[in-house]
Amino acid sequence: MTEAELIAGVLAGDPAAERALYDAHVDRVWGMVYRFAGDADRAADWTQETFVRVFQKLADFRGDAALGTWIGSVAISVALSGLRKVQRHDQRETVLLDHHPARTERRADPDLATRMREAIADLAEHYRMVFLLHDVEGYTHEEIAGLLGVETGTSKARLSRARARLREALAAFA
Amino acid sequence: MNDDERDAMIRRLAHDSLQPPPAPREEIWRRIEMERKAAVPAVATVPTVARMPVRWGRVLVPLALAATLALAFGLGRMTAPPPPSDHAAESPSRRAAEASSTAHRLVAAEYLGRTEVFLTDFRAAASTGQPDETASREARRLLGTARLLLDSPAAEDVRLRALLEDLELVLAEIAQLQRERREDLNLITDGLDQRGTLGRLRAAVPAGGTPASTQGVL
Repeated sequence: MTEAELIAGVLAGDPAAERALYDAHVDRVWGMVYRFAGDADRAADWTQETFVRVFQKLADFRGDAALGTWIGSVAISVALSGLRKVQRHDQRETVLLDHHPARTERRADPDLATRMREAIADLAEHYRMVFLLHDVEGYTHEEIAGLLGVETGTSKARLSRARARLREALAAFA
Repeated sequence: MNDDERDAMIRRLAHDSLQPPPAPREEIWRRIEMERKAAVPAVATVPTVARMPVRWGRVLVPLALAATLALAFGLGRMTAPPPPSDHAAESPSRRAAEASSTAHRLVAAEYLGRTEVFLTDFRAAASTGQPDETASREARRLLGTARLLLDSPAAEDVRLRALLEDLELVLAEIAQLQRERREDLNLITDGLDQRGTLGRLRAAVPAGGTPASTQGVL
């Protein structure tokens, strides 16, 4: 089944086409939102939300760009929205808790991959977003500027700061 | 090792260390189906986009949303509470909450007004030629404000939230326009028409446009 046939099937309400579209794109969406979410429960919520929105808005998709690219934009929008909610929740928790037990646990295992995950998680959100979008997901600064609502120069500056902080955090392993 | 080599190592490490576990496909699919089924009764009078012919989906859904917004805002005008007659009886925290809520409504009203002007200009420029780069810059500024509003108490209103989310999408598209093609410009303007974004914006923007007239509108 071609992509156009798949879309036509979904728009016509064909359950098999809906499932086929989901199967074709779920792994990429899951990978993207998992990296932003940092845990599987949140990633599952955001993957679910992404596909609900995709099915709701597919009629607006004209096919001028690849469907996967469009679905990726929806996933990032969902992740950004989700991160805003998480940030609000974390701010409330910080008032109640002055320590973070889960993080203390992770620091007990200082291998390089673990240290890398910690260092990325420790980045301020606006640095982490740009780093993940550019260095992991492969978006350009122009695309990131559009997605995040910032100037291209801001995106470049944030990436530079993010990398500098990661270099510092991993200096002991270099 | 110099900075470039360290950056390359960091990219490689980030890829390797952030590998997700396998997606729980079946569980997520089951949840998607449940959520979509649960959403059907709430819009029982309007068939879902996925189940209706494309042409009617594009016409009816924006119309239904615009009508819902207009009705809600009209009701808001009619049912806005009268000024309290006994200020001394109110608690300071309630007054503070009301002041904050009013402030967010005013900011949202001012923002929707500015966005309406911008999108109207953009729509006109798109019909006569390619909008210039200032459109992308202004879209980025408005996009930033949309996200701040989405993160504020103003977004607790589900209708306003839906409108802001649509604006977030269209402004992000315009912000990226400078690198794209004429067909993408058509895609954006068609999307504006299909989602009824401008009509919904106009329904949400208070007549007269002065902050004092916004009470009960948002």
